Order: sequence, then structure tokens, then C-alpha cells
Amino acid sequence: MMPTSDHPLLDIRDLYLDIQVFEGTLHVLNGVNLRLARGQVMGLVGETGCGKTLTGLSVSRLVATPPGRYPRGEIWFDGRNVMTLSEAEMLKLRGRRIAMIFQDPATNLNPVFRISEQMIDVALHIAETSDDGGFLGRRLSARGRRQAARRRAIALLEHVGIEDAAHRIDGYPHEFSGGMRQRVLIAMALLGQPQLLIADEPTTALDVSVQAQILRLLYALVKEYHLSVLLITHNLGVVAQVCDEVAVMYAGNVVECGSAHRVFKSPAHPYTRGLLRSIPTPQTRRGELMGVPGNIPNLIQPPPGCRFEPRCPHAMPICRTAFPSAVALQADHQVACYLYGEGRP
Amino acid sequence: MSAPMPFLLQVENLGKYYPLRGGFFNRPIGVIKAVDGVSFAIREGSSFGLVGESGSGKSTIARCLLRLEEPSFGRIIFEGADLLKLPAEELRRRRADMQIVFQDPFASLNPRLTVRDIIGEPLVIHTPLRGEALSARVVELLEMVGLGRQYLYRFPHEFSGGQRQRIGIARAIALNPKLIILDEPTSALDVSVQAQILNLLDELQRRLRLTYLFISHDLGVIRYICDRVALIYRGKIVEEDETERIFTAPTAEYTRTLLAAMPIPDPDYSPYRS
Repeated sequence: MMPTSDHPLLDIRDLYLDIQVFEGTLHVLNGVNLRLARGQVMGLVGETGCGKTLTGLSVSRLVATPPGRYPRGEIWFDGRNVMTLSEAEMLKLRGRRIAMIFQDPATNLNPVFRISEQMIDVALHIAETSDDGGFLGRRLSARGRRQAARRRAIALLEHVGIEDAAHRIDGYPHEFSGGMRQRVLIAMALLGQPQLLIADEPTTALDVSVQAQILRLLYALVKEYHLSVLLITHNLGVVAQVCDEVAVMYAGNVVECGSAHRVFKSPAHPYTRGLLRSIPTPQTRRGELMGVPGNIPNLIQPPPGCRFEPRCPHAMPICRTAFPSAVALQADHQVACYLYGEGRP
Repeated sequence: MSAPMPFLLQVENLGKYYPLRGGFFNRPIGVIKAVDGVSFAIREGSSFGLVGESGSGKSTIARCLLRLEEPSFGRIIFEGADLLKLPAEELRRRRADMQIVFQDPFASLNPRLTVRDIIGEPLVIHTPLRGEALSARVVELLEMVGLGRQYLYRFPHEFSGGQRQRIGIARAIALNPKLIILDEPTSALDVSVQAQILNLLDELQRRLRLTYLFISHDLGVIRYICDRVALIYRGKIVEEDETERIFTAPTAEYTRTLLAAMPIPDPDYSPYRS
């Protein structure tokens, strides 16, 4: 069903997540399947509440349990199921081989410490918890290790496009603009020499011209370090520009995934089509924007079958029975919808 | 085409400077020119787009137009009268003709008021409608924005972002205004909901003969909804023209930069891959 590439770096299989809230149990992830190969950029798109952020957080096991609970599912990262790893083992992955950057670069830096202190802390911590002492090695004195960490931090800041990094590194976060702060966080993420970067709405808070700079930087880093990136965003334009693969999520399910080219050029799922038709293009005439009627479902009592069924223009009786399994339309294009494959009436 | 419509709003050399204080005794040490000599004019029944990045001064212009912010200089001529020279009583009456819809539908509705009170508030201030008649008008407004009577006594927290923005729009059209300032009305919404709101705005404009001043940083949305566009950069207008010309033949360097940075949802147009 899925294209068989040799050992994808990240392989999420049938992941379910429930979250206990005051009103009841939210069934936020409903059997998510995702595969991300090495050196690939995958866009995880969907609207508010579709579970894209929680999917990203689950990969680095950052969802608190409780209130979260994983009834089923596996997350394989580089041959290991992170769902079964101990917290001590996760510490060696998280922030190292799996790095994350987030939407708001202002709240992810401590305002009262210099950039240098924050980066050196991270670098030293990574070195201490690495089996081989990491890039610092074992023999240096405490002072020597600090200096080495600082040199490393400066080199990375320069690498991500911060000019005069040797001086700027001693500045405080408020002295940096939004785009520059995001660069600092990217440099910090690179300290751990990650294989996977989970970027959750990294450019949403930025102006378009700054967004373009950050995307250019991310794209260059992917090529240079052979990074895999899970780019979580609601901006389909950003996905089309930088992603090799796309997974479209709706209400806790991946409803369509495949190469960016296939998904954008021949979208199959009614939700993907609706999303793409919601974006005004130069050819859209006023009054002709389609949108997707209706609202996202209540996740405490989600629709029993396909969760998109209540909003779907092609809804059929079978859509209310069970969630459709994914069907391969092409080697690089899958869709979970009864309009296709064996479910077709 | 018939003769062009008259101008509803003319802004001439509008400026808003904020004093910058600092140093010993916090003395004035300079000014921040948030809006620095901006001029534009909007014809009746048209949509005028104001585009710029954060800090460019676009929201300050909106606030000056409504006199929520006192401009430092310039003239704002609305239906032939200079708003900055009107006596207070006259300004109050004119304000009914200019309304605003804000960006954040979670912050712009009072959480302790019901929908009836939120939409009814401008009616209580400016009209003699009360009681049943007021409720009837609010229901009529709710229906115009795609909601219904059943929402009359609900509170804002019971609504999604898109529905809240509909309530904000109902409040803005309650007094049959002539001009509505839309300050990033869809920026906080998902694209599928954004499309619904844009369609609603388009429908209301034709039905109620509204004039829009549409403020946004989203060039796609601006191109879809606006007849004319002005690009603002650091408090100054760098280019102003008909929408199609701005998008097909931009003259200012800044316009070209912005257009180039706009992500197009088509994998064939990636500036990064190549």
C-alpha cells in the first residue's frame, strides 16, 4: 500500500491519541500513518485542531501522559519504536537526533539570559549526555569545554546567517528581530546534529519577506546535512514551495499523502480539493472562491466513519460506517476515501 | 462603464508621530513616524486594499481614520467633511457611517455579553430601537451573516473563530454604515473558513453597497477582494494603483520583493528548488 523505500527515517503506524479534558475524552489522533525518508521534507498540513502539532509532539514524546493516552500505535525512528523507549533513552534522542523548532521564536528563548549562555548550556548538556562526549570530547577542562561550546555556537550562528555572530551571541533575545530569533533557534537545533527536524509553523509569525529568508535557509540546511524535516503548517503555499512530500490531515487522520507534485496537481480527497480551492489565485474571480462549508467536528464524539463526511460534498452511506483505509492511486500518492479503490460504489 | 463613482473617503497627507522618550529624565529624544504623509482616496462601493508588513503603519492609519488615535497632521475627508475639524457631536453622528472589523475574533468580542448585546450595542447608542424591535433587528443581522435566531443569547466562547468573525461583521453592519474598515479580518482564520468570510464580505458589499478599506498582509486575499491597492512601507505609500496593474506590472522595488516572497501553492513555482 505504502511505497516501500528502505527503512524510512520516521515511520508512524496507526497512531491513536486520546486526551482527557473536563468535558470528556478527545479522540485527537485517529490512526495516523506517515513515512518520512532521509533527506526529505514532508509538509504536514491541515487546519486548526486537525492533530498536526500533536503528531509532531508525539514523535519527540512531548505529549504529557496523562492527560494524553496512546491506545494504539507505533512511531519508528531510525529503526526504534520511540513509544517503547524509556525517558532516559528519549533524552538521548530529543533535542539531539530529533530537533524541534516552533512558531513563536520569542517564547522559546529565555528573555533574561544571553544567547551565548543559552546555546552553551544546550551544547554542554548535549555533550554530557552523549556516550562519547559529543563534539567536545572527554579530555577538556571545564573551561576548555565552555570555550569549545561557545566556538561551536558562534560557528552555527554564522552558518544560519547571523552576521558578526561572535559579538551578537552575547546579546539578549529582545535585541533580535523575529526572523533572527528563528535563526538562533535553528542554530540551537543544529547543535545536536539532528537527523530529523520537526518544524512546527516556523514561519507563521513572520512577515512574508522574512518567511522567504527562513525557508531558503531551511532548504539549504536540508541539502547540506541531509536532514529530514517534518514541516507542520497550515500554509499550503509554503508546503508547495519547499516540500517533497505532503500529508494532509483532517480531524486526526491523514486523509491524503504523496509527492507534493501529485497532491497539488491532482488532489484526490474532497477535503484536499476544498482546501486548495479555498486559496484565492490570480485566476479566481470575486465570488467564486469555494471554501469548505461547515465546521470541524467535535472530537469528543467524532463522526463514526470518515470524519470529513458531514462536510463532504460526495458523502455516501458507506462513509458513515468506518474510516476508509488508504488506497494507493499511484506509487507516490495515497488517499483515504471511499470514492477510490475497492470502496467505490 | 458609467461615470466613476464619487470619492467616499479622501485621506490627504495623513501623519501620526509618536514621541520617543529616553535618556535622563525620560525627555523626548526624537519621534517615531508611524504614518508619515499618507494620501489616498476610496470611491464609493469599491474595495481599497492597504498592504504592508508588520510595523508598516497600516493599522495606525485605520485607527486614525476612526479617530481612535489622534493624527498628528493631515486631512481625512469623509463625504465632503473634514473629520478632524468636526465638532464632537457631529463626529459622533458620522461615526455611525464608519465601522471596523478587527483581526482577532477572540479579543474583539466582550466575553461577558451575549450576541444580542454585542450586536445590539451600536444600535442602542445610535438608534431608538429597544426590546423586541432591537432583538428583531439583531436576528435580521445574524441572518445576513449566515447565523440565525438560535444564537441570540449565546456567548462568544461558544463560537468558532469563523463564527465570531461573522458576529463582528454583523456588529459592523448594524448601523447601515457606508465604509467598513477591515483590519486583517481573516488572518486568524483557517483557509477554508477564510474563503467563507471573504465570500460573505463580497455578498454584503453588493447587497448593502458598502465601501471597504481592506487591510492585510496577504497579497492573495487582497488581489481577490480589492479594486485598488496601496503598498505601505515604513509609514509611507510606496505604490498605489489598480489591483491588476500592481500584480502584473509593479513599479516599486518593494512591491516586487513582496510579490516574489508570496508563496504560491504550486510546486512548479518554487524559488528554492530549481
